[in-house]
Amino acid sequence: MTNTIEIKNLNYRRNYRSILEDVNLNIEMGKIVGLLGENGAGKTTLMRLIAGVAKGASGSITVAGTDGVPDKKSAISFSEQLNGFNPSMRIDKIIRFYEDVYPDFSTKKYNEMAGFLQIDEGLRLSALSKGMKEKLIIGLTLSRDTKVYLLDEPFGGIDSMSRKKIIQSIIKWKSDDAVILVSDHYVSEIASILDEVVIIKDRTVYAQKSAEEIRSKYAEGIEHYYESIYEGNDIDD
Amino acid sequence: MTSFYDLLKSLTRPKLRIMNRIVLIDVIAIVLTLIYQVYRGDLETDTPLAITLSYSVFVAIVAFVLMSRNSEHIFVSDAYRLIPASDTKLYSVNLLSSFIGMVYAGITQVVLWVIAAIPFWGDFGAQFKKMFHYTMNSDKQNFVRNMILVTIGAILLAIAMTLLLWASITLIHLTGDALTAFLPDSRQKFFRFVLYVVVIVAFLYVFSIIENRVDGVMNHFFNMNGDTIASIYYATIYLLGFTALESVGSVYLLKHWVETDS
Repeated sequence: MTNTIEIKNLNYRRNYRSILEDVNLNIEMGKIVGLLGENGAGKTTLMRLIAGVAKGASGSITVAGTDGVPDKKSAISFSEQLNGFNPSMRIDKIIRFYEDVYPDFSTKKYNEMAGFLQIDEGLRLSALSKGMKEKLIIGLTLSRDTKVYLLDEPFGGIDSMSRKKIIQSIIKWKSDDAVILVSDHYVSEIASILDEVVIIKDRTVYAQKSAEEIRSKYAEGIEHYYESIYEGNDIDD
Repeated sequence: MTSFYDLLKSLTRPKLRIMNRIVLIDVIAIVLTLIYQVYRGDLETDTPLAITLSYSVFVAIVAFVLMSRNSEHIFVSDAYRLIPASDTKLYSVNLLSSFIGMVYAGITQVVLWVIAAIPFWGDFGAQFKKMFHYTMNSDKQNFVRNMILVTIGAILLAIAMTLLLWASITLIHLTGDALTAFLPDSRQKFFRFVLYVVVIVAFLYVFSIIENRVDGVMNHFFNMNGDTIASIYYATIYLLGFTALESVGSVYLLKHWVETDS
């Protein structure tokens, strides 16, 4: 199968601190991958490097066969893309912005998701609760037709009932060949939709395993496997 | 990829909204000042135009500052840096959209001047006729032609100065932003303090360059000979060249070193 994301020998330092070291990672087309790791492990940084908004790293990152930053941006929909809008901006204005700058943004798909997520477009960004803002981010990010979706802790503020519904719906909102890389603290809740798990520990990719392998080989859930690695009792083959 | 036009639309809209707010406050300030003048019994025919003209100076300064602030924010925000467009395109469209914002502010000010001039429209017409008559009957050769060339040159010079100022602010901002990545976390506050000092010094340096150039032109401004006119255009080319150099530096920093604020 073709790799949609290929990362080779990636090293990233900032402020005299090494944040990621010798990261090598391949993610196949169509997979939903959980990016797990404790706070400060470098999950967000890795996503920012893939999206091309973090700079100064050595190594190579190829997305959908291209390593040029503008082309990579075309192929990636990143959940951070709401950062930087004026808080007084109304949601309908943000949607208009998306329609203008992202040729692959589907208003029809957004409207369907907005209905499901119950997003009120008449509100301003500052008037949204944390959970509602996260729903908007999910709606906007997944309304683009791209090869890669990067969702950085997208469910934190959403109530548990909605969270479960959204997580289960993610599969139907993505195209078959698209990759979703999702980081989240609610491992048990996203576990059911994951094809693969990537664990970031000690500034590098510590483990990359398919969800099926974890379940069959270790007879443990993904959450338990992840916890065992962080507790130092990693079960390895 | 996002087209140049679509990107321009998206970057210009918020800047025009900022300008609309400034103009609204300007109009309210003019009206309140006029009401105060009426209350004091000081209102004369030319008062509205004098007030409008004097407030235009503040409008220009505030518009410039807010355009700069908005532009610099674009370079470090995910919402804009994630747009599928090259850094060169983002940089040039951002500069162009700020310029459109300033032109828009300029047009609104001219409209306000015309409205404020209505009370003494007759006097204004008479003055214009007198000037037109003098121009037509002037014994100096090419007076009208030179007048047109000087006016166009002055406008171009003002545009070049504005662009250079924006390019300088961006270069200083992006240089500082890129350098912070190479400092230990504990020294950030100290460095930022040093950076502010550097920003002010650099700004004064750039400003002095512009001032010297403009002074050179202004010294002969009213002589109306061919060389003086040419010097306005030379000064414009000089400033635009400097702007282009700074822009190349800024785009390089955007491509390789400047991250968004996370």
